[in-house]
Amino acid sequence: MRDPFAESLRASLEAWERQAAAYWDSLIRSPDVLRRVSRQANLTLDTYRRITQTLESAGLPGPAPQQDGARALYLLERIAHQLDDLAARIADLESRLDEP
Amino acid sequence: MNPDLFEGGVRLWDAGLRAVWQQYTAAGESLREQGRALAGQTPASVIYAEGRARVLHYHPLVEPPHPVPLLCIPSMINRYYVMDLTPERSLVRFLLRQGIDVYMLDWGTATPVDRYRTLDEAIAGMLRRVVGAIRRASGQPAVSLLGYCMGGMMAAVYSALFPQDVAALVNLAGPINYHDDGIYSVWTRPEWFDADRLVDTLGNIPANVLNTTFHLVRPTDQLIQALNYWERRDDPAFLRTFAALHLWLNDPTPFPGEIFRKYVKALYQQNQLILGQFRIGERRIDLGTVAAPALTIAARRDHIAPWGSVAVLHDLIASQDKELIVLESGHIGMVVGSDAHAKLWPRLAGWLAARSGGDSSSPPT
Repeated sequence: MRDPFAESLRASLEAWERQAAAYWDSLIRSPDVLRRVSRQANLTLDTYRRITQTLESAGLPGPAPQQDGARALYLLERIAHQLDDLAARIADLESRLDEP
Repeated sequence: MNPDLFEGGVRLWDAGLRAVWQQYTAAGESLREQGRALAGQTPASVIYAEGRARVLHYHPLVEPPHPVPLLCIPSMINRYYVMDLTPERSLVRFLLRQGIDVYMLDWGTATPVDRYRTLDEAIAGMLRRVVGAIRRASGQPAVSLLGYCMGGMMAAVYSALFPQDVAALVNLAGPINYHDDGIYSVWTRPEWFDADRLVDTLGNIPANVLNTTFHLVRPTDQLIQALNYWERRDDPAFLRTFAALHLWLNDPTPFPGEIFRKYVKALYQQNQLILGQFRIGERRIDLGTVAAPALTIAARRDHIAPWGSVAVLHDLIASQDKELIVLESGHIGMVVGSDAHAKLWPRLAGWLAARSGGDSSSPPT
């Protein structure tokens, strides 16, 4: 059985949501709004970076000291995958050569 | 803000929306728990792993399956299980039932190590090794690719780079022309979006930042979702799909930093792919050289990859055997919606089966 309260709420909500979404969409596409959000985001990122650098220079744990290790690990992983791939290709070639 | 719009919202809140919203948010963790028990449950074996990524080979539901394997490539920032959402709403399972031999690339969760992984390495390195592993496992010389969203772009680029590896290409909502009217195209314009500053500061783009961004596209949609839940919270069949989708929508993975940098700058900001200027390593990508059979699927209500930016692939490629499908759905609905299940999946499976070898007239028995 249909719930008249739910039906009424849905009809009202859907109508309102369409209007609100259209308003929101125009807002988040506005160059003026986007420039202001961008300025704020850049300030936040710069502050984050300064805090990180301050922590690092004070010898306190921050995300930056791990970066060199992460990069080295990435390069090692990459070499290992390339070697694995090479080994698989060689095995593949060998099995083809063994075929009569 | 329009005062009538604001007052209308307050009236709705007081008229019952508050109770609906409270029930919905209180059910969040329980929904995600239910979702975890349902999503990605189709039986599969891991045939290859690399870093955080792995390749799943789903156990065939029809023996023997068509010979040519299919590799599904999801977006790097959303979980693969959107294509295997619940047992009854699973594109993977549907394809298996039609005799397709399905493999899935699960990108896994990016860690600080992945911050340095590049888009060039992901496509020309890792994806090539994944395809190589599938070729060896299946004994087939070429693999069909089905890319969804960002994975669609990657599949198209791969097809241009390594045509001998690709038996057929399916682009499911993968943007090719990035200068469209889509919201991400607007947000990432160089006038206000500094990808370098973001990556140099944060490394990987955190999952919670991505999640907030997704929800900001249409935040009021959450209210409609709350009402959908509240109206049908006693309907077990509805709840299964709803819970799995709720989990997926709130379960992104960090975007590897260097991949994000190139994705935004080369594609969203400079639109290099459509201009024929996009490079992977030393090689320039010319989509006009793609000659594999190709199916392009776009959706008219897609806010993430507007249909025109996807459909353009159909015109660019040289394939003689190509088809374009434009659906009346959205970006996610085209993969998990009931309409997709009823209309798209059978067409997709039929198209693939006809290009997967064996008896194409019906599923193998």
